Amino acid sequence: MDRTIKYDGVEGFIARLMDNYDVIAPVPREDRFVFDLLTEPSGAVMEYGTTLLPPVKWIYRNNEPLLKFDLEDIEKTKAVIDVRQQVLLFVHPCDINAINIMDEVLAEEPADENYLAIRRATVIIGYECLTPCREDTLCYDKGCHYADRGYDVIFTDIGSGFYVRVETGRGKEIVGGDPSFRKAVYDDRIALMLRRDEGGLRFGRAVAGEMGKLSHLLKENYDDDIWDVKGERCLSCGACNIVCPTCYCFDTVDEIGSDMREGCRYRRWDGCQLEGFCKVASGENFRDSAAARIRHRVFKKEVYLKKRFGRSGCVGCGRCIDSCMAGISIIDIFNHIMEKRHA
Amino acid sequence: MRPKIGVFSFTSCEGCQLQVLNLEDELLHLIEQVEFVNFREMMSEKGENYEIAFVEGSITRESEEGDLERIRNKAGILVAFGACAHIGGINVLKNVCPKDMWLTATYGRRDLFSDTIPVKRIKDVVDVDYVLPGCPIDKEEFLRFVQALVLEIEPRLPDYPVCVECRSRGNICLVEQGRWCLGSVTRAGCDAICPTYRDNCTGCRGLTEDPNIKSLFNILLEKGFTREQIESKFGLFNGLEGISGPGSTED
Repeated sequence: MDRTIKYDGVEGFIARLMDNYDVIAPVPREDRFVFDLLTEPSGAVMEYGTTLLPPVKWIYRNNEPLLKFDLEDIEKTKAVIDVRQQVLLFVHPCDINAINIMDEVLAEEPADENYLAIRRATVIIGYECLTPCREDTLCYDKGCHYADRGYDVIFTDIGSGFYVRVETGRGKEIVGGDPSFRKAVYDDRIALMLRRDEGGLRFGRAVAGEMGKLSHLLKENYDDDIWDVKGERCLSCGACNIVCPTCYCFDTVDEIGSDMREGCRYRRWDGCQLEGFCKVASGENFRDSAAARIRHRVFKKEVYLKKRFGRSGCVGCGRCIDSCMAGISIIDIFNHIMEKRHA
Repeated sequence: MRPKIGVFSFTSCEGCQLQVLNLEDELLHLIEQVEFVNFREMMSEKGENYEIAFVEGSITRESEEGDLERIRNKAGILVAFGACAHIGGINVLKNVCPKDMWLTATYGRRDLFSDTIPVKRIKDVVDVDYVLPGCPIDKEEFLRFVQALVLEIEPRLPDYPVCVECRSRGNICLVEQGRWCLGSVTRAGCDAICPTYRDNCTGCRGLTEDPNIKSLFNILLEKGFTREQIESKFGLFNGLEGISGPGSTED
């Protein structure tokens, strides 16, 4: 059963959430926003532009412990999963869609048990976008400006407060017993429909052309000049990988304690745009130019993941565009490729 | 057997040696694993029977070259320790100033220390087996490095740029804010400490293996910095890398 909550009821709800969970919410950082562990219920921001790092990084953590070992006794080697009950609060639809992709990709055998366990312990409270949060996004092109699953509950601003759609049993438990919520009535549902209809009209396309043809067009233009043009400019700094909500490549690092016996293996985020990513033991590098690496990133999202999972691996959040100091934009790349069709 | 270590200093502030002493919680464990036989910031004894030499500082006098060669001949493993040893560090600034100018500015007269020579990196004089970069070195990286040697694991430095660590911490990009930063071409391993505290990355850990200097130079030019400004930013630590802007050599 859906609920509503008044604007002034939200802070009390967050305070009660904080009694039972680590609450991770958007908070300001200079003129931008990040998802961070809340220390005060008033710290959370509902109206925010896309965060610097996506919320999924709280499920797929950097420096997360994976394995404990003892150098003198291999029998003591033990896989570890550091699970905390946490809420990701006010997650935008693009990021919910990204978590859906991660859920699917990382559940493939061999499954990423750490991700899956932390994901199961993570409550997702969405916050629906009724207006684009930034200019450089292609969430609408990707159909990711709304999310129809992947959250436990999702808030929508309906003018008199928030409409709260309840998707899961866990979502029902969280809002059902909380005194800030009331059962949604007919008028609330009408307000929700109107708001969502109005909201949809505020979004527009960034890429000209049929997104469904993108994968095919990319394959046809594998040897296009654009990869070299962008490669000249690319710093191979990996920013686009680190900020991407569907980049899941990682390396492992082992750290050994000062007793020189006990140690731990950690997950360390990695990225296909980094020069050393494809370096193998012989010293060979099978993607040794920035051009080849950029092409791989675009193909990974639009061709390879699409082939495996039936949908693009890009949710159009725009973080890779925003984070690129060299000004490389997948919107430009997509538009260029779409134009090739008519050339 | 604990490997015997000597720590030596040439032209530098000796801050990298101090970083080792700053490992206060770890030092007692460390000396169970290795034996320091020569380390002037820490001990009075000056043993010559070291197997691993950590060499700090750059070479700025001819007499230092012979001293360094003697260390190289005794040590099985020689490590360039810190930015001065690794890339020349800020000492290289003197190479680009007229000698009279900096001698007078520093010592008040020109006839002191007249045997000074243009700054050299350790690798310009002897073979270097490993590098621990940074100004100063990262003490945790030192610890991991020594552990690797003791456990006979090949020590590994990050081969990616500072941006990876900076973005992983959720920092706002300084370049995006209109400031200069060399993090995109500088070897990581510092956990992006300077940009995290909103200071520019000056490149103290040296360049990555395949840095796109040309692109970063152009980006900083587009942001409004002059060629001279950008060259001077690179010159602070990487003065021996021969970095110059478009229009100077290639273009």
